[in-house]
Amino acid sequence: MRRVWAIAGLTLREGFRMRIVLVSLIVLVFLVLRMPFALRGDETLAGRLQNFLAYSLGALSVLLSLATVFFSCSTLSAEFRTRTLHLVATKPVTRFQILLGKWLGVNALNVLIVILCGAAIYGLAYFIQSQPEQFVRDRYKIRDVVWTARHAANPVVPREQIEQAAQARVRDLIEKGELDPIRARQALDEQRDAALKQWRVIRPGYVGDYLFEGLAPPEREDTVVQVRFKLIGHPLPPDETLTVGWVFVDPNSGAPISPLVWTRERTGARHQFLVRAAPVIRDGRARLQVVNAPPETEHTLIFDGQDSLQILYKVGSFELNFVRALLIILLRLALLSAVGVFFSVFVSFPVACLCTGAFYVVCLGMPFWLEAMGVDTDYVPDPEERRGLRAAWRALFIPLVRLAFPNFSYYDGTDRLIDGLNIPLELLGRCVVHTLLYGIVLLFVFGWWIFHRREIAEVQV
Amino acid sequence: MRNARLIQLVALLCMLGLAAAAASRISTVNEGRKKLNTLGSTSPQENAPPEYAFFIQAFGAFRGLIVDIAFIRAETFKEQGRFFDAVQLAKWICALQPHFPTVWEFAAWNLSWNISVTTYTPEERWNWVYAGVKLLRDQGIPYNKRAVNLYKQIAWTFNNKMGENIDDFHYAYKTNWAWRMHLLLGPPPAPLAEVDPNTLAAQSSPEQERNLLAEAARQTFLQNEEKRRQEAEKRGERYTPRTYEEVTRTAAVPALTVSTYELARQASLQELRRIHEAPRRLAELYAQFPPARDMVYRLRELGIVLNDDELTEDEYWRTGGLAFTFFAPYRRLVEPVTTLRTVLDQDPNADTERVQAEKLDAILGIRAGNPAGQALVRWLQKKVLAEVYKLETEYMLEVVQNFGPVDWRSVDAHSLYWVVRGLVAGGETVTDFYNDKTNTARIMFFSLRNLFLRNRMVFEPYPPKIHLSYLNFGRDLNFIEPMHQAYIRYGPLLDPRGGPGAGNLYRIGHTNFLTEAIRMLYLSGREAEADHYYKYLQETYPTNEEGEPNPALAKTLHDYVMDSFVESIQTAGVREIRIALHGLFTSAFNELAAGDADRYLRIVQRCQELYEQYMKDKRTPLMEGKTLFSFTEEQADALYNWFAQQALNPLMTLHKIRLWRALPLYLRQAVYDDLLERYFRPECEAWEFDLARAFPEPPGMEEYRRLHPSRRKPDRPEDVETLPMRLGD
Repeated sequence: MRRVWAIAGLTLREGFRMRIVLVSLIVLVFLVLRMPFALRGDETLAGRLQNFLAYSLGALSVLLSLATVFFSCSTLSAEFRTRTLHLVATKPVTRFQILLGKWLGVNALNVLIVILCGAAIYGLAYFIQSQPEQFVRDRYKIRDVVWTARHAANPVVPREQIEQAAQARVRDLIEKGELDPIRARQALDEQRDAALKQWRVIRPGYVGDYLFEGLAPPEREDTVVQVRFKLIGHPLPPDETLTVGWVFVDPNSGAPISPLVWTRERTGARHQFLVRAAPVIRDGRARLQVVNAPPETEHTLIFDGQDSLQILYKVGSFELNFVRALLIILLRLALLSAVGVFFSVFVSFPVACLCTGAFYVVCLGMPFWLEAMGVDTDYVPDPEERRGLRAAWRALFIPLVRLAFPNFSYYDGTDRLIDGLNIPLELLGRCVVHTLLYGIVLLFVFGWWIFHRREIAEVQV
Repeated sequence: MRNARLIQLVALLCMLGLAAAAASRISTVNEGRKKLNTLGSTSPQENAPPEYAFFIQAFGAFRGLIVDIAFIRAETFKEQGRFFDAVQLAKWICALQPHFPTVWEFAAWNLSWNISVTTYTPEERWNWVYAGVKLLRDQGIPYNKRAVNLYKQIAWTFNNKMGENIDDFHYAYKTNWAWRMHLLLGPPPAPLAEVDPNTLAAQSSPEQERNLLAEAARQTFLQNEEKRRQEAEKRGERYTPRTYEEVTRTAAVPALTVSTYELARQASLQELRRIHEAPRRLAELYAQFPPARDMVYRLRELGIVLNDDELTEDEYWRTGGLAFTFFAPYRRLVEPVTTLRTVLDQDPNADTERVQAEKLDAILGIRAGNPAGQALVRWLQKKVLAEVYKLETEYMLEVVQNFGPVDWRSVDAHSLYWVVRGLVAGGETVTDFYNDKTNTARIMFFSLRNLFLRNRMVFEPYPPKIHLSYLNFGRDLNFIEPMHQAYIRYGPLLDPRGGPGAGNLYRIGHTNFLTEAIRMLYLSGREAEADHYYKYLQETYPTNEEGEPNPALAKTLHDYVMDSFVESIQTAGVREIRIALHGLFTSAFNELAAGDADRYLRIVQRCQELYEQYMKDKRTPLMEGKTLFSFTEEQADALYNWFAQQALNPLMTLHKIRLWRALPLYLRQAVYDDLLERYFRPECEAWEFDLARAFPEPPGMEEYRRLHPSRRKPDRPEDVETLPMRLGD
């Protein structure tokens, strides 16, 4: 391991001397220091803080990624070009140790920069959030929405009731002779789906009742939680706004425990409002009733999607969340550096940069590419899909693409951080597997195999 | 090798040729840009601040692409609720394309309409709505002075977002804006306070040198005629051209020149002219009023810094800014103490403000009418209007001259102001932009309508929480004539089908408006004006929509008005008459609460007439079941119901306090005991008002109680009154 660390140390020093890295670092420092004063967001304190975190972490990720691409591609290919590697290769250093040392050296530089910039970003964010606010609500938003780590709870699906209703319906259809008993199972699935959809629908003059469980008790008397929702009106109102009433009731008795509040919001967009947690969360449960405006309205309210109604409550600290977000950035950089070194094993520097850069761009835009291919990011092959060459190709190709190119939009802690959402360990674990381990396999299995068989003196394009 | 060179040469020649061809089209492209008014100015760098100039130069032709991407991202963030990001991107878009008016318009609309509704407190809502106005007023328009759509957007924000009642927080917008203007300009002058009879005759003239309403109407007419011609061509029909004069001749009605409206307008003009004629700079002020120099030095010693430096809104409103150090104590000097201050149990700021006001008066001599002090005030008013609110007194005079005595504390006055600015700016563009001119003219129409509905304002600010200030609106009879003129000039031009008066499209609106105007004028004792409009109604709209003669217009003016309250006095029952009487009494009490004792008395007089007319043949034993209580008793019952309205906030109680203070003694004595424990005391306790100061016991109550036992029984559930006990039930 001493040889590995020696190579890593040399690589680290080489990185500091590299112009592209220095330039990236200078630009990064300038941006991070300038942003708190240049970015005003929506002029609220919470907006400024979120804006600063979004753009500073974004700049850190992008600039460091570019620097990593160039650095990782050049560190080995430069030695090929200058024939320095000939000297190293003759030493009692294995090809594996060379690769490992290079990769560790690149990542050591990344770790150093991420730690320094991360500390600066945190310090400046702390400075911003400690400024005096213009509105009281701003202070609550910073404390309980942004400078925290929250979990989004979805309402508990009343599966038992849905199941009972679906079974009763199927029985009824069979008794009436409208359904062949052979198709009972399929019909039951359909009724279940329909009942689940109906549960998310509130007809005019009706009230939807939604129970949330597993909520953490509030820390303070004035702690607020956020209710987030996305509603669609059908038919679409002429002014595209929906009038909706919200009231929290006792989870057991159903008696109202908050005043009925009416909101008028645009249909189809995501909205949120804050509510004091102490009165509404009882024994980890909260029950929210959603009122579809007075009977003269003709619009049905539909909660669009699984995450269309959520209560967000605190589960952790901002600091830990921040560290996790930086860790995700590091894991992505580790993958990029592995890919860069991998390509530099068998192609020249420009080609390696091109390939690694393309890899980075594809990973960044995975949702776009998948959509272009006609699938969404959660594509699962449909077993009922028509069999044929095309179907087989899609069933094979798309999972392969998704495996080969990790979705950097999914493995991104920044969006969750600025929304005050907890970065779960599960996401971190998946990120480790799909970036770090994937990069290690790519570099130290395939890359090593190629490097081991390569004649160093041979000219490569 | 030679082939490669040849290919390179050919490629180079093609490149040069294509570049030349593209360059030759640039003048056509620019002409198109000017026609579409996408160029706010002829030069992109004109008046651009350094950071904008950097972006324009740095990104060059890629600005458009970057702006497109930023726009898409901003929309996406808005859909996701990430407004901090959307607003930041909007700012960058404006920085990249400062001379493209549409980006400013979009950003301002986003702030005032979309982002504001994501907040739920009055302060935040006002902050966002006003941010949209400031963006256009302070940045968008200075960089795009000829962009009519920007002026229209400001006017629309004032008229629609703040002026209408659709937004849940519209009251907060109105009070916040009223506070700003009240602090600076105060209430409008009384109609007779400022008028000079010698100048009145010389200046009042029905034909104005520059009638912006008619100008806008003419532009719209020309556009409509062009559309008619094109449609006739498409259908292959013969097109008969019309002239503007032909169309408007049948609708022209001589405007009233001698009226309360004219008096009020002249008073307003006089006051504005004094500010308009005030010097711009301190040196000019010192030259005209030498004592002003010493006043300025003494004010600086108090921490009130007056100089010729550009004043921003932030500086004006900061703690220690002129809004609080100068204008707040100045208002305290020149205006009566507000109702709220007199009834609050504790007013922690009262002593401080009084001391400040006294110090100011010692320097400026306001109460004594010191000319130098008054001149200094007007200099500062002009400065703040121009530099903080970007309001030019020249255009403010135009507004009053053309449309009437607006109350500048009203948001609709300012929608009218920005419309006027937009029309003037539009007239100075290289090409006309007809679409925006039409829309701005429509905004004028809505603004005038709202001024008729709300220009009579009573405003008592409560600075600690401005959205809790007392703001009461009433119909302003001075805007009946401008509104009437707007209907008859504008209506026929918008409706290609034509028709008498305002045209078929606006006929119903015009008729309803005139009906209400006639009633209000008649009840206010302005019978001559009421008769003028009644005759117009009879002559212009003698039939209903089915073409049959309208029987209501065959009545006398008196019957026409009074029959609108009760269909037929002779055949009405006691219940119908009582409802009509109580309705009129309620109107009278509202006028008295608003401070108009004259109108209160006139309405009460009409009530008396109605009462006597009904009762003239009811005072016989046979008619016992059909008689009303005595007139005073009916009035007292109506008053009780008026006070019995549930006070959901302190403003409603303030409204009641204002009425209580203005009521005649006999009425206060009649209802005091019934209201004290049930309404007065609980409300005062709820809002921490001093009961004795809010609703003082009327003098002589002991004697009154002895002579007048209470008529009101204690409420029991089984007592079912035929009349509602509370208004609004």
